[in-house]
Amino acid sequence: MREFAYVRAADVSGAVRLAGPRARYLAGATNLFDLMREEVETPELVVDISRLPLSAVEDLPGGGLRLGALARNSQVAADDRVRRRYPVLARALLKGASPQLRNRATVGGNLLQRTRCRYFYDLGAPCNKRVPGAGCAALDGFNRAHAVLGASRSCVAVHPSDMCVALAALDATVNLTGRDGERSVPITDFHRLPGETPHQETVLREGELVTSVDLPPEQPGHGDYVKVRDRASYAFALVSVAASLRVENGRITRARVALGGVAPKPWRAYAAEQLLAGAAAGEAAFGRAAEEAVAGATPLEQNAFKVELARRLVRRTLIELAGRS
Amino acid sequence: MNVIARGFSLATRAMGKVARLLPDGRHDPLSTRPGEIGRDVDRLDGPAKVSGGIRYTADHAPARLAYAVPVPSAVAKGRITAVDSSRALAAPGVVLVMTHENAPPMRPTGAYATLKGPVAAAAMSLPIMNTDRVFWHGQPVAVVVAETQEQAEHAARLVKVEYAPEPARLSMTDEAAYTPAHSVLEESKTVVGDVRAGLAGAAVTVRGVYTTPLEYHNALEPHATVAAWDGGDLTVHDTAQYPYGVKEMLAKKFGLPLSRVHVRAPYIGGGFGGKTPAWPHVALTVAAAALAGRPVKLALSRTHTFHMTGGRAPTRSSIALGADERGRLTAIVHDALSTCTTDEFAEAAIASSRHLYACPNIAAHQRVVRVDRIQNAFFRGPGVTPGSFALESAMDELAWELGLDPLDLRLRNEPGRDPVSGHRFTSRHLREAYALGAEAFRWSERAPAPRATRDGHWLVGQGMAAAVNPDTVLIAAVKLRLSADGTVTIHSSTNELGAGTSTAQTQAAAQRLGVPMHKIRFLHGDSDVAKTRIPGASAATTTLASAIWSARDELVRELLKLAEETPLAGRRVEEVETRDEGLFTRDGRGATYRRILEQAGRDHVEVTGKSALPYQTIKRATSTYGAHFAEVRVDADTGEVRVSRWVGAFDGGRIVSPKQAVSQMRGGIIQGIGMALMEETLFDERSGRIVNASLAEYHIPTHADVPDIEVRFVDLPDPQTPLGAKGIGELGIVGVAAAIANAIYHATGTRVRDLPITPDKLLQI
Repeated sequence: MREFAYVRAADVSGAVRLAGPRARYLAGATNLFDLMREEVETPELVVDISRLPLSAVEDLPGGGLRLGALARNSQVAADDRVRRRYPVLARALLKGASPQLRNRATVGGNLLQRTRCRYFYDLGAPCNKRVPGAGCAALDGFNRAHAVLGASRSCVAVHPSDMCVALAALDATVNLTGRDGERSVPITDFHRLPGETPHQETVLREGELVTSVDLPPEQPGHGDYVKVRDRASYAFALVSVAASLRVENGRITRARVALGGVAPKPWRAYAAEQLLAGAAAGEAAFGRAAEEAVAGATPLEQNAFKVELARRLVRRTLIELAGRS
Repeated sequence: MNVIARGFSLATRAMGKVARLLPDGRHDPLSTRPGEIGRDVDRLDGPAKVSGGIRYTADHAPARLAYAVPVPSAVAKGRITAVDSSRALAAPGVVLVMTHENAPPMRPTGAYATLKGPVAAAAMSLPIMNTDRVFWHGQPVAVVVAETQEQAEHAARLVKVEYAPEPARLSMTDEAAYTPAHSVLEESKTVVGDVRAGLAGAAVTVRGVYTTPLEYHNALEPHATVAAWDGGDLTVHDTAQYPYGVKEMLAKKFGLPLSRVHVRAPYIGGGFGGKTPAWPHVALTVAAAALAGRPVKLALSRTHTFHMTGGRAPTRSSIALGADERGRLTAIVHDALSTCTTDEFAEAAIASSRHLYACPNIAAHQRVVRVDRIQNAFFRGPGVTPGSFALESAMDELAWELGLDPLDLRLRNEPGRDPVSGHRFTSRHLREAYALGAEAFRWSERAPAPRATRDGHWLVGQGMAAAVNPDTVLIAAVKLRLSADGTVTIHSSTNELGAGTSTAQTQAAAQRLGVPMHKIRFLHGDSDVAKTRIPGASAATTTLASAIWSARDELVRELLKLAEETPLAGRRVEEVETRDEGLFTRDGRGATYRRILEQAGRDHVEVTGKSALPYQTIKRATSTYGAHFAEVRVDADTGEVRVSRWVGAFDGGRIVSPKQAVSQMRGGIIQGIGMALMEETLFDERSGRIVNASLAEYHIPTHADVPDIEVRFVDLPDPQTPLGAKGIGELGIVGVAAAIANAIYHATGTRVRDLPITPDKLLQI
């Protein structure tokens, strides 16, 4: 770990003022400290925001719910309103990490966690995300866990979050405070695709702080989060699916499908959703939607199975959700 | 692992028929007697362990301690052309940077695994940090010593090392394979009968290629060494499975008399063979302490345990089995390949195929490829663990081909003698284990066809596999001290790996001496007590029991000399029993220990006991046996496997401490579940880097991956071993991977022959 300056922010505006180009915000520390110990992250200044009053989960006027950026993953997962109105989010959270980590990890930190690509962590391996222009060791290395959608020749790393996949399916909004004031960004626009600049992972501007995440009012229908991984617990997703479905009189009136473990960001399958909307709820539509969800996939040498796995998981999840309707 | 048995086996071959003239193992009268042995007692060190009362190696912090962090090499092979330590030396708190340019000379030793040369614990013969050569990626090329761990970690990244890289051999390829001189306990090449004829005449044959990846032990406690020089004396706390071997190694490396080197390793947080050899950091810590002139601690990070300690070499087994129409084996062919380094140590995957089944024609051939990786190591069930995955999968395939129940096939091939050596067994109760396990599992209720049971998404299947693991007795000596208050202290140089050795030995000693358990203290892990060579090999229980048995005889002899004022006067050793806290003749005459010492005016009596030579391991075939019965559920869509039920039934002779034994077997089965379903070291053959050197990406089972595991023991004493016991430490893992692969086949109809069986390999089901 490199030496760094540490400062505790007194309030949000103070935090934002302090955070310069070589600064990082510190909340639960579950990812940042690991990266700092490995010297993958080498901030000069760490701004501790963990004591700011951003940990509440509050009802929004109009029926939505606001998750404070410092709300713990375990706290959100256990929140009765989340469990009742947004079960897909509660399930996603509970399928992430371990109880110990969930007790520390925050909503904001979860949004900003870095990829688990091992070449990103290995300072001896080339990585465009770590050192722009250095190359990508994963392209023809161990890439079983890597992206099949949305990646580029610069970077094939996946975003590791479970929570964000659920947030994507829920059409959540991320609230930010920066030096120029406040703004809101849809979760689906919050993370960037790598293109030629995989080191730029989000739309956050310098010093901008995630203060909360808003969930829109509960939608009728049924939702679920399913996750396939290499062991029963405490593993990142090979493929995960967050989906919700509303079926009225045998017709699908609303569908949301988001995928995890397959792309550099939480991956909304818009085309699949469009295909479902208005279709008769049945295996034929679900099969077509599953095909559409992985259309254009570009697997690498070791991860072609993710395409088939995602296809099956989307199809099965939709069938099950329809069965509950 | 098993130098002694290896020596014996070589000697046996040299002696030929002479071995038959050797005596059998001494029958232990305790082996059939009820008492403390076999009683279900709680682990004696349990309360201290769960309340943080045990000091492990890295907990030691002598005064003026400095902290060391190694710098791993960035190339797999080549020379160090320049080291620039200036930035590291200028960093806060840095005491020194040790490189090959300033490290004190460390004399090379033989590598332990090769079983050549003097018995010492050195993992490798390579002169680490006394040369500019780089032998593997991750080799320590510098050690930074600083005032704090964090300062040392930071400065270690500031050491700039330049290399002249050379082409490295990093892959296990056939072209470079050769037959090693020996394959740890096993001959590298075995030919019995004529396998070509056996296959040609077979009614049914099966062939398959089975692979296992590079695996790492990942004991919860990473390796650590704390070294302190005091004048000419060197005291080292080390996570050593083999403290006496580390003492010998350090004495040799630093030119010290044995008496000046003190290695302490009372408690180890798991070893599994990964702490049997002393990896380079051990000597480097001692060297750094010499350079620094103050005590130094070096605790490897989890990542560095992948770089600087060795794992189980990958294996590839080609198997061909032939059987007649009644399912009797006519041929077993097992060609195995694994890797080694400059120091030749073969992961002898052929082992099970030489011992498990009766067959007139057996050809087993182990080959290795020398690669530029870190030395591979012993790992729970060396050879038999990966090899049994191959053999026991192939047996399952053969059973399906024959239309026989896999258990029935095994029963039809249960041998009366060792199929290769022709030796008789000291005891072999595998049939009983099969019966126990099958009944507890309700094996007979299994569906006769694959892919026949479905529960929602889940395809359900059952599989089984047999296990064999060599049993041996090694060398140990203990000091036994009887005090005037009637309490007994037993000192030994072996350690407590976490398996419950100290509890089992206290039980056994209590019964041996006729003293209640609470009056016995079993102390362990001090290399200075006596020459003790129990580096592993599941041999601690019987070897220590043998030493304590002989100490008991010595004690009786000494006490009889002191007992002239008691009714024991003039009695001979054979005439008295140790019971009721004293010595008594069969007609009830005698005296308590307290009385004998009191009358003799003695504060204590101290004796030494040495383990007896295990003739039975030369003259006969000695092994432990097991049968695993597994149920798995496989998600038909995603290929995820969940192990849902397990029964393991084992023949380990008499079980000394059932609670510890059950726990030990469970641990082995859990480790086997990891091996079957998730464990794999991703070794990047382009660079020689280990890519997933962390527990986040090197998966071992979580609680959610582990079902209820039922363990049964045949619990029949072996007539020729101390306590009637056999060493079961490693037995639990053997055969587990095959039982799971076989259950997956039964569930899905898909046969996976390369481990680990991850979901992607089952997507085609």
